Amino acid sequence: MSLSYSGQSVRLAAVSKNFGGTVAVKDLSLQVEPGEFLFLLGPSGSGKTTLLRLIGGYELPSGGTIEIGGQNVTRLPVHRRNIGMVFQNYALFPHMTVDQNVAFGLKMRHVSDKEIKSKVAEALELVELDGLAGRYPSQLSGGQQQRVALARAIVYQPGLLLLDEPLANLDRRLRDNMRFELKRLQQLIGITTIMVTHDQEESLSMADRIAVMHQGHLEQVGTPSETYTNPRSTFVAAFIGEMNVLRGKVVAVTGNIAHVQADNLEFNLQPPPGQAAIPGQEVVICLRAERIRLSGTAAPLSEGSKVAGTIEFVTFMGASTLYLVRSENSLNLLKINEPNAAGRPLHSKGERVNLSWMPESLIYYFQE
Amino acid sequence: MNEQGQSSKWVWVLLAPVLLFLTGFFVIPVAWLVRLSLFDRPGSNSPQGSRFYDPDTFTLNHYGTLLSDSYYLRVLGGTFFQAVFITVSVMVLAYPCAMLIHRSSGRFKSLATLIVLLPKMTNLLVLTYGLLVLFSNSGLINQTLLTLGIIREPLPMFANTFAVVMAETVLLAPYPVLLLVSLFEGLDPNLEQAARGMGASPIRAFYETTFKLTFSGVLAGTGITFVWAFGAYVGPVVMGNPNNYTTAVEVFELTFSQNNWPLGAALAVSNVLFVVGLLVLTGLLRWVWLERPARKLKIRTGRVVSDNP
Repeated sequence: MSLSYSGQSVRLAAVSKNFGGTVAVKDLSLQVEPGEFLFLLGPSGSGKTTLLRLIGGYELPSGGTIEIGGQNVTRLPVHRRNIGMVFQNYALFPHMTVDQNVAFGLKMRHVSDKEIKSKVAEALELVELDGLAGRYPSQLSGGQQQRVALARAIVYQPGLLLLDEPLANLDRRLRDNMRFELKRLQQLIGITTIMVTHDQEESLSMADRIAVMHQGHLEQVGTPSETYTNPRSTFVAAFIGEMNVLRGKVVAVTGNIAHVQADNLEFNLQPPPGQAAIPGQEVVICLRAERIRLSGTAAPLSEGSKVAGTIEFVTFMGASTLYLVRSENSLNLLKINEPNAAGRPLHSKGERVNLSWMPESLIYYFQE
Repeated sequence: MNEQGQSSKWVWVLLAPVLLFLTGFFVIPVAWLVRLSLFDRPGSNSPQGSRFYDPDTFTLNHYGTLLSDSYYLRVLGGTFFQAVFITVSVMVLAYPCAMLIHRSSGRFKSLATLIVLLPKMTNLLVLTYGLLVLFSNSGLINQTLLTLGIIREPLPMFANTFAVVMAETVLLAPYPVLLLVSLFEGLDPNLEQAARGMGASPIRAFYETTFKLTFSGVLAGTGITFVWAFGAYVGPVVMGNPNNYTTAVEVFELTFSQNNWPLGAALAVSNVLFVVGLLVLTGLLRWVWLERPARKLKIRTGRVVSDNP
């Protein structure tokens, strides 16, 4: 294979960006390792796209430094950064055929015609588009256009690949396939890749590491399983996965166990090391929808904490069913995501059920 | 099939008013003009009702006169080159202007669009006389410069080709500007950025994407501007000298001043043929340069493959 890649590291130090009076990115530091697949995950307006554009050079930072491959590129214009970029709408050149689109970056680098030909062919093969070289973008389906955009961004062997929600415009089935293919391609060529998404499922399934962004700063950077099982803030906890967030207060402390009342449910929690619980202290408790077990009142009680309630809403989702249950005396509904197993009947609306969960599955934050 | 027949019937119904209008007010008058150009002017004792031409005298003499008399050839040549100057002046101004309007936003965009459209909302003659006030020897520009002592003699900005080109530029620029703005608005703003990402300098990125994608608009704008500039009347008459008089002015002279309707008609018809000939020629050149290579590419594309059945 003549297309070889040396994945480059990226280092952001205290980077910030203001647009007029609004702060899009503030004092953000991040290190991306060579060959890593890093996700910038956050809701819209969190600054993730701005951060990607800063790394690419499409915006200049208001402060801080950006290094790619050890070189300070903070003030370097886009076309000298040797990056590959895929836009959400692909931005294919409509007046050029597929092979002309892919050849563009090589042409700009004054590569010989012969080499352009072989590299374009190879890149198209990588994204499984060989045979469509003479087509115009308007003659391609969304998925094919997406592959052209990808081939076009990697053909000149950039040190860094930037993807701005590249799967957002594809329909569901195609998106699932592309997730897998994108990941396979990234691992195959080993190019350092930073991808922006607001889809937490996408980031969990593809990323080496996820950087969760919120209001212009990083909430947490970690592997998918770290951010899922060990979210460092309520925001991360609530953003990744289907989460029940309960707000409550410490009512009493015995030893190092705090008794917390949240929404008429009682919890016995151990404050994190170095933090002491005081009565009256506010506590946020998070409980994932898929960590709650649901059983009929007649069924034997499973282990862990239990509470009784009534089903108020049932949403069948194929692999699982989402129930909204009002527990006794509670104001809020609890979300429960129950896998659908063969031979297990669905519960119905109005049915009285027991809810239970393992104490370990509680994620909680004592207010400082 | 049935449905298609149905809808094509509706197309004709919808087109009918336009076709009727064009037939009544364009095809028939032009045909009448062609016919008029093929007869002699009426003699002094001709009967009433046929005062434009003498129906007993079929002749091609008028076209002979136009081709042999160097005066008319000079007018045609002058009109052609003046139209070229006007077109270049308009397009050089229109492209950046359209780009500015496209890139601006909010109130400034509305204001800029209004400024461009303003000449078209003003009476043609009023506007041209306004320019005269601005450009003449005793006009605003010359008087200001004289008072400030920057010049001793008034600048020759009036009764010459410069004045005609300026006036016609003001009159004609709005059309290509509007045409180009609509083209710019249809462009994906990410294209230029994508080109930059792949290593193109800002100028190269602009050329490879925005310019190439709006080039058809430049050609179309050039075409319509040239046609109008070729038929210019008010600008040359008000702002120019007799050397700037176009074939349109000459047609008016022949018909209304000299009452020679057949020769005037012949000049008008020649004018139309000349412009149509030019447009066909540029169309052919354009096809040879632009379309043919694209066609070649399309031919070698493979079968239709789609992952979205």
